[in-house]
Amino acid sequence: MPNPFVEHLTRFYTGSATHEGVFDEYNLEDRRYQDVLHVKTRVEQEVLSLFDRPIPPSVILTGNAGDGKTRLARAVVEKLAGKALHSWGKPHEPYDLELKEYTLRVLKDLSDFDRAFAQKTLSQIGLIRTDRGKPLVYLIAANEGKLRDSLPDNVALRSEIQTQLESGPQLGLDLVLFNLNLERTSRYVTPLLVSMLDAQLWDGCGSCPAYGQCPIHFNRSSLSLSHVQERMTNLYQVVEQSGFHITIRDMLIHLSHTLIGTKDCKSVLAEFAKHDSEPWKHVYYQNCFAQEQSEDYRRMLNVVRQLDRLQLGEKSHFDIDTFILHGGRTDVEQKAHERLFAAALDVGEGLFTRRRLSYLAGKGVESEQQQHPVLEWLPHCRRKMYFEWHDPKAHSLLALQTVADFQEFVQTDDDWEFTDRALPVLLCGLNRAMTGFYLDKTNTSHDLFVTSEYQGSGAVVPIVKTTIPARDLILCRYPTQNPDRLRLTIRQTSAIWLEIDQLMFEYLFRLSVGGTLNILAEHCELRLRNFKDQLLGNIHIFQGRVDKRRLEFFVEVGGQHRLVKAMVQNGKVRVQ
Amino acid sequence: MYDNYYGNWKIEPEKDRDGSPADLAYGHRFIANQQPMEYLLEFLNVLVGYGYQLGTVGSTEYVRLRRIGLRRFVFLWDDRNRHDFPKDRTALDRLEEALRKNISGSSSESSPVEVIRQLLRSFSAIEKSRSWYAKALFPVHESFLMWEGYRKKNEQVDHSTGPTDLDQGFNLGTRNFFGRGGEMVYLMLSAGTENNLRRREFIQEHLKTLLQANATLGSLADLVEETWAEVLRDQGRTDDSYQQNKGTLGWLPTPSLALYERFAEDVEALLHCPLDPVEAMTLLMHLICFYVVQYLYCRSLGIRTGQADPRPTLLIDALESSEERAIRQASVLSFKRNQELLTDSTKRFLALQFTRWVEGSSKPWSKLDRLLSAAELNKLDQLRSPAELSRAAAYSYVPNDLETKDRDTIADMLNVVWEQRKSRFQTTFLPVHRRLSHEIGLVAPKTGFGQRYVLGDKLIKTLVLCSVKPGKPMEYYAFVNHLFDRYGLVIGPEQVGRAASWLREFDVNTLYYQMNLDAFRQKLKSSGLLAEYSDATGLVGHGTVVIGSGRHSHD
Repeated sequence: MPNPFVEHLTRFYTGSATHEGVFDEYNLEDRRYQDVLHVKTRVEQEVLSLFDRPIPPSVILTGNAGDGKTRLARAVVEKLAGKALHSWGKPHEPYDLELKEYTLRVLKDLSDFDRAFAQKTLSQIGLIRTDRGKPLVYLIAANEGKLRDSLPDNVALRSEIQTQLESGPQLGLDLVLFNLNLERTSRYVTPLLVSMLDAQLWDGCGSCPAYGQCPIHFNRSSLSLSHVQERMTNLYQVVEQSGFHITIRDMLIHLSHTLIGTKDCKSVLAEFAKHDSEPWKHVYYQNCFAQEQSEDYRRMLNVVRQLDRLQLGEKSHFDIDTFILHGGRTDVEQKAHERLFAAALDVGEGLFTRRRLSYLAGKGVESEQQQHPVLEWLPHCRRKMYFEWHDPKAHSLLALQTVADFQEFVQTDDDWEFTDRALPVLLCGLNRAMTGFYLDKTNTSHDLFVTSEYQGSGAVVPIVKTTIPARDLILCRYPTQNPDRLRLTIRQTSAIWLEIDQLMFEYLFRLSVGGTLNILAEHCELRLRNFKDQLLGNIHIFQGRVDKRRLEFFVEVGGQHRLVKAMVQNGKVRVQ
Repeated sequence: MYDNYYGNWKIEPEKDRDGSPADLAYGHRFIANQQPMEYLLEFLNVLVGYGYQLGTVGSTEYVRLRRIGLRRFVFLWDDRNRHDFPKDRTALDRLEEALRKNISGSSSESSPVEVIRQLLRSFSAIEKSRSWYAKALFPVHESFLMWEGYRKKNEQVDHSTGPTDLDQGFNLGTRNFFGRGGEMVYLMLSAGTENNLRRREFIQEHLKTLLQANATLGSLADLVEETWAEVLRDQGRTDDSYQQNKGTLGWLPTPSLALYERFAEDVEALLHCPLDPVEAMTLLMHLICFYVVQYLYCRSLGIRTGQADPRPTLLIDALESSEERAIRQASVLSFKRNQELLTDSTKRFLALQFTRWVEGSSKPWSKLDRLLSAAELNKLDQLRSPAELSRAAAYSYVPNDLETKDRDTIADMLNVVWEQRKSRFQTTFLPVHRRLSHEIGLVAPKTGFGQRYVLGDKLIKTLVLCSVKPGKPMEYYAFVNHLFDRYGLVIGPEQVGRAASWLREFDVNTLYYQMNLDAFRQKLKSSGLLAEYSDATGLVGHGTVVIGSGRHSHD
């Protein structure tokens, strides 16, 4: 008897024709697992509590497709109506709910309406009443792009919306905007896993003949472990800190895929009957990265695409590979190895151990040129270790070297430590990135050199337009609530800043130690260029500091980049 | 030949005044040797030479900037042919000797004079295929501007030769590279602001601000030039009027075009953006050359169709290196048609002028003879008989409603002129649009049959800055339509549907235009000029912020 919950989860499998399970509009009738898969977010609580007021403000819910805007709009309507909503009425028409004190007008998706209508609606908010004289309260769900494109010309309203878009809701206003893009989905990974793995949902599995050979069962057991959940949450945090917003829908699809892969009860039973399954290929830490799937399929999984950047398990790591193959140097390590690699479904019920032992005994290959089959297991085992090895060294399996430091900076409350440690490193990287010169660390860790250079001559000389000392640079965590990145601003203005997410941090760190990571260049160089352009375009704000007789520039002398200072006065030049 | 023109029709002394068909049809003048940077430099020199005033369009002269000391200092020292210029090398030695007194330093690693040269040299903007005297610096400050110079190879000099003599023979009158393209830009901007003096003033003021930013760099360039002047003064030379050289403008054949106003609007929009002066000048160069190409196409279409403000058709191949060839072929054809139109309209324009002569005079041939003489071309009696040239091809340019005799006369006159001028037309004028376009990233590849329209990163940035106000992004499809409405750039299916009939009927599946549209979107996105949201809304913008409401001062 197949597990109905597993069948339900297959609806999130984006490769299937029936993956409508991820769209709230299609779930109005089938509510069997609604509570299990419902992620109770803080925003939901805030929005619902606004509608406890006698006359609530109008509310705009915005964010990416999949953030749960429609779901949240439905929750509001159901709360106010006191019953389940079965239809949103006619398409492309607002849904009106008559209440005693006011009329609630819901636009469940602003994209259903043309630009002129959308603009008109937004400019009317708070200004009109219904035919019956009751206030008209709007509840609008809008994708961020559509919303930004439909902003009315009214400057005050425009700025009210834009401020809330960037900095979060202001609950005291007549129009409150919730930008779900600002939400951190990583905080809901563990609650969702706990809910999905609830014993009641898996009751019938014990009697299944394939129980011991079922990768879904294995995954369920492993994902229930708290440190595995922690590591999964950590991966989500790294993705978010890298500037990518994970939607609730992305998470539902990804965690479902991690749990069941492309399997269902029927296919597990069929493979079990034929004795031709290789269940270790479908364990959670492989599913998490969609290792066994086609490129086309992987492209559909947003979280997987972001995880690819971390290259988890793909790169060799001497200490960890030695541990995997040799079993540890100390007793403690050996015990940990035995525990990790004991015969179980995910390591081929002893298959990996047999390969490993033959490798250690110098057997298993016919010639020296042939690669030993145990080596094919290495990426698999590295991923397993990331999730299951309690040692913090597991983090070094990620391609990014600065994850731990960055998380510490983002979470620390110690401003001194943070500025003293982080800023010099960032400044050195920034100066090197922005001049294109490999500048000496000692000169460039205390000031930010804003240079202008003509690129057309083949012998570039960056000219320093202004020097911003470290004391005028403010490095802060952003956003203020639940920060997940840093922001570098300048004391003179809050209008120019550089967002330093995990990837930018890594990029600048690597530049400061003399290397680069090409996969980051695309993500970072353009933003650095923009930051520099903003500074150069507004150089007048540093006016007070500019001495018109002085000129500083970097030239190459004998292979070294040297800062030259020239003073022009009374027809003479003094060069230092 | 004109009743109506803009600029200075009475330029003297110049050859070719009336003779070049391209000049007659498009203005005096555009030549293929002039590089995009030289359009900007010539324009700025003319503007500065008129005291930062647009609209001085009569025969008043402007000052050409000589700066012989600076150009020797920056360009002569490592010129490949420097040994051919002993007089100038002697002058350079004396200048450097004097500079060593004015430029001192504490570093033992390198000579301070060399460091300053390295700095100035980093602004070298025109290097390729130019001798030291015709090279030029990027306009990072007005003191970096210098008019195209010319110098004959000179003989060995006696060390006792005075510095004034060393400068003798250097002249600014050759116009091999500053071919008046910059003057045309000056005229277009002047014409485009005739009805909007506020805009004119804004442009003048902002260009002045840009050219006076980087004041310290300017004072270094001045110091070099001044030091040379001092060397001259030490030799008893007090009159420095020789430093000045005057120029007079050319002319545009049409005094008012909507295109000129659009040009001025775009220049204003670009100058409104808070940009580093180096970036602003680079983008201005792109904009200027883009508009020169626009002008050539619009003018040729205007001659062909008689419309006051025709829209050219430039099908952009945004798929670039993709395997897909359908769009590429259509774009190649679009390029080819525009090029043919340039020739075709020139002939049509000549035929129209000859028609007026025939209608207004009993002796049109003697007028033609005068035209040829003025241009110092062979006279009629030295040419092949008109009858030897086929009339059939020329008929297509001649108005139909004339008597056969007159049509024959016009066709013959056209044949006579074209026979004399076509080779020059093809070498000096026809390549103008494609060289400029290639250099600014509007056409690729550089040569060959596959030349087609593309949009390079800098040009895209220029167009975005001109079209989208800071803080007010434009929806992607609206932006693409704007590019079509304003410049005739065809990218997606919607624009094809509104484009010229030949393109609508050209056999390319709509799907390919959709791919083209998607590729352009991707290009904007990867240049940071488009923000894409999860519902596929794309907003085109440039993220520049303007801090403070006062006028920008850059230094």
